[in-house]
Amino acid sequence: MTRGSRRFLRPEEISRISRLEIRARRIVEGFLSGLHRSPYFGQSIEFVQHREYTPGDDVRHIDWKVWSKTDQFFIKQYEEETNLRTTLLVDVSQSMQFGSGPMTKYDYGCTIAAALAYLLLRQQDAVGLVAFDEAILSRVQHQSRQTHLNALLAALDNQKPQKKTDILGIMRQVAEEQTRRGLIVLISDLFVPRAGLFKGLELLRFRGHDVLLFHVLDDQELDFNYSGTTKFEGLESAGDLVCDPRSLREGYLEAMEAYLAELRRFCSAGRIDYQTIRTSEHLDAALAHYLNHRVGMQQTGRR
Amino acid sequence: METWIAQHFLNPAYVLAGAALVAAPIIIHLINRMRYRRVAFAAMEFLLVSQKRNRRRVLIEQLLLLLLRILIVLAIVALIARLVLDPSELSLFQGAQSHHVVLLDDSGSMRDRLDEGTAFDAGIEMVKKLVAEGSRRPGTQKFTLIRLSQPDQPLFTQRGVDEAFLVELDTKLRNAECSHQSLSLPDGFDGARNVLLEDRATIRYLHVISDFRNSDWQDQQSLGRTVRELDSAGVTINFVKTVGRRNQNLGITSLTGDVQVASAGVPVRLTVAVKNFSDQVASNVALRVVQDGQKLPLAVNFDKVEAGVEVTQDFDLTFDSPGRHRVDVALPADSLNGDNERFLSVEVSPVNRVLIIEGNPENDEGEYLVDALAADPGITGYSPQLETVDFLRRRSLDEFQSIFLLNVSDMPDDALAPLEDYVRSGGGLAWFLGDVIRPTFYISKLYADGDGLFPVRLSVVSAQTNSSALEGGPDTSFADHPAFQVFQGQENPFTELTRVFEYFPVAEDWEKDDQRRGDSVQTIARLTNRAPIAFSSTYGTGQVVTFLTSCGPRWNNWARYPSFVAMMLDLEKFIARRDRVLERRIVGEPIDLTIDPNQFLDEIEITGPDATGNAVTRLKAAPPRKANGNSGQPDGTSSGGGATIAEQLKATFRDTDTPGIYQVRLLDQNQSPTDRWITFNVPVAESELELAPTELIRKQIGDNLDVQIQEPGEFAWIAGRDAGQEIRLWLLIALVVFLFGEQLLGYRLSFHTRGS
Repeated sequence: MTRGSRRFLRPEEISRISRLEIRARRIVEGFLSGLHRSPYFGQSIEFVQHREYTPGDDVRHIDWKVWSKTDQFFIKQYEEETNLRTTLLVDVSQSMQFGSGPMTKYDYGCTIAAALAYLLLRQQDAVGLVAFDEAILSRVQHQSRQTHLNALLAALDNQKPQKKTDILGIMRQVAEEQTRRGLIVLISDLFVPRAGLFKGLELLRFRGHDVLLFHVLDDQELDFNYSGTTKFEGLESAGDLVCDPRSLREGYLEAMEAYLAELRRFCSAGRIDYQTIRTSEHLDAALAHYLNHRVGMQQTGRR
Repeated sequence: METWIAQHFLNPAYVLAGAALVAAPIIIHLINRMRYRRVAFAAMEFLLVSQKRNRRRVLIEQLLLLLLRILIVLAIVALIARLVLDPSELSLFQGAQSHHVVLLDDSGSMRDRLDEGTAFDAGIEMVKKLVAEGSRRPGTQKFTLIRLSQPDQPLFTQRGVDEAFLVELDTKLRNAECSHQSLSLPDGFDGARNVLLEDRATIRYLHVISDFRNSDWQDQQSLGRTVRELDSAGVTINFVKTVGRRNQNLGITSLTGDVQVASAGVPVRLTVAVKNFSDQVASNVALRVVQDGQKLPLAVNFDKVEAGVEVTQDFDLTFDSPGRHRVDVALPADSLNGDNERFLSVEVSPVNRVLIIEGNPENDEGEYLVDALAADPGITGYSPQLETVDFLRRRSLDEFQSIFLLNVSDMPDDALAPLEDYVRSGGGLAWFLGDVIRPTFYISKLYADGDGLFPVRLSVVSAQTNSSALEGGPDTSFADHPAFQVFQGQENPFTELTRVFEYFPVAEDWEKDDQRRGDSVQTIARLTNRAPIAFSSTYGTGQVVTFLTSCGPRWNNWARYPSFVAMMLDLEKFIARRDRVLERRIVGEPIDLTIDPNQFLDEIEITGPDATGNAVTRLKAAPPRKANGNSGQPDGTSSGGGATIAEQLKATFRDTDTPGIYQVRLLDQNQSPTDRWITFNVPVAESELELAPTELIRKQIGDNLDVQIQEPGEFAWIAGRDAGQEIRLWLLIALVVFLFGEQLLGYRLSFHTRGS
């Protein structure tokens, strides 16, 4: 692991996240057995049910304890654990370069991506990565080896944000390339045209992907705590404005809140996991909150 | 602008600097707009939406906030500089160069006694306080003091106020005396106006220190005009009252008598009038009478004098010796002593000579008159002399008090001329007609179309009445005339008895109505047929009384009754020449003397009353100043007509303020003295102590004028320490409101975290 890549995996954050389990929300196909439930029953650790033996079944699965009690042949069935195929979509456009604290949104988003990749790889899940702005800047294919992490981190570390975001184009491209269902994790500030964003997300869901949305925002973008006359220079050629930010704060927060509410409504309707994350929040706290929430949804869905 | 600031701020020096501070919030605002920090920002979409929505609100809020901050600065500046909305509350001696003109009333009523000293003393005290306050800021104040008695001669003119001046003022005012005179407030205001309008560079004040009597403020239109003129010229006017209440006052308003006929050893009837000038009844008022310095054991008392009422009382005085005598009558002391004493000087002759010219001595009419005037010369003091018309031609008439012409038919021109001169110069004349008179002479020479000695045009023939019987009531109606005192009153027994049998009627075409005729001739008696029978008129300065009937009992029965004696004595008193009565004047009038250098030396000695006795003043008469055009003319000569006339010398004595008798002594070329006595008394107007209500004063000067009227005993207005007290409180409240509003608005316009 290089010195540069370590900045995305701070030791204390990794130790906290390693106690958590990440489970796929839906049963997806996977090459590797793991902790994830599979729609296919077979050999595995977790017993599910008994079935009467029919000719052709593997005699290794006959439960002899039941035969001894009932004199009938029953076969033990187990839940098969599959590999989770996760694609990390990381926004590296110019707007992600904004940050009022020690970390920019880009830094923070990459940290999340790295943490998730590390966690998933430890579970033997396959992890791929796509970094994008107007176009896909780099792509790392899915692999489940532990050493694959280095490739992922190297891909993130090389990005220099500078251009606008073409979210619809990127998502369409990803949807076409990822033919197998899996988990798509989008890490972005989502300062993109809304129509394109919503259309792209619908496309991914339509392809059967489980979509996880990390909306990374800076504290100043959420709270707008500026004071004194300020010239705001828009990133991604959004224009300039000289104003007293205190007088515009209320209107700004209203507009921002309206956007976030719209996003939440859309994600809720499309069963997309959405989470707003402040760059000042602890990484583990944000992930823990999200994962607990996701487990809850999974259990609810099984009943 | 500086004047305005000085008039409205206790600390005007801070105003301009403070006003400059108003720019501070504006400058800070502009600097904030020009100096900004740059922030690269991603969520511009939302910021631009907010900016678009709130543009107008933000602008208004920003302007409001800016306005509040400016108001806060202004309020603080006003508090520090101590704003005063009403400049009259301001200390008189604040700020820039000021010129204070004080008009000090020193008229007689200012002698009114207060609890401590007089009203004039209170005025002096006020002047001292003013200057003392001004001397605390040396080099900024000028002071002019004008006394009402000398409005064109200020006691001090534009003097710089400092400690040295204060000492000088104190010394000079210590000896200042209040006059006894009735002075003109408008003249005083004019004097002050002349001083004030000359000085246009400074802040000007006029302080009028007076007792503000009601009588001084009635119908003072010219005074109102002057006050308005001063006010419009920017002069701050301040009326300072020295008297707060109306004191009780009794005053002697007159002391008169038949002094023109005073003679030695004969009682002279004097009349004294006392008026109660207060609003309460005065009782047991006893007057003291002093003759030639000796108090007489004479009881002149009034049991009761109603408020506002004048009462009179007669008393007789006898002067034992001929010559000049002094009389003064005095009331007990009260709040105003100036009017408690009144003086009279009397020229007493050894005997009063009366000339009686009888036209027809056979009738013996003169004897009746002689008996009436001097039945006993020791009692009446008259010395009648019976003569014929020829006497008028031969002898001087000046020694006679009066002349009676009885039934004189006519007289030559050289007799008429001295007679006319005599009457013209003040001598008295009484005409009685009779059977020998020539009406044509009376009409042509004596009447002379109204220019002669005889006042009416007669008919050419006499007329008879049928009033022989006593029944039928009075036949003559006597007017209220001094000569007919004996016939006054209802059902007078003498008017019932007197009858006129014959008389000369006036000409038919002579207007008998006095009003319509409009000359100086007054009808004083008429018969029942409305025919006039007696007239009173003047000729020159002499009195003429004319009867169209006889003096003796030929044409009437007047001489047969005692009333004849009384009527003739009263007639004599009335016509007796008064030009020799000693002069009487009101205090303050100057004594102007014109001296013939051929007759008198130019040295004049005037002995007048003084606080300590009599003071002697010596004057030197001088030729009057010539006009510029005649300046080359040699003194004492006149080139006109070739005759050399010695120029008259002039002298004026003005120090006549003290009431009493002034003796003017001239010396002729032989060093023989000629004395002239002049009696000066106080004016009655100053005895009225009723105070003018503030409303009346305001009405006279105009209600809308910003003239301050200070009540007596108040001195706070001089220092002005309490000025602006009220506005200061309001400013503090406003400042708190502004600060609260600014904080509220600032809080609303600024960011605050939820926790804080």
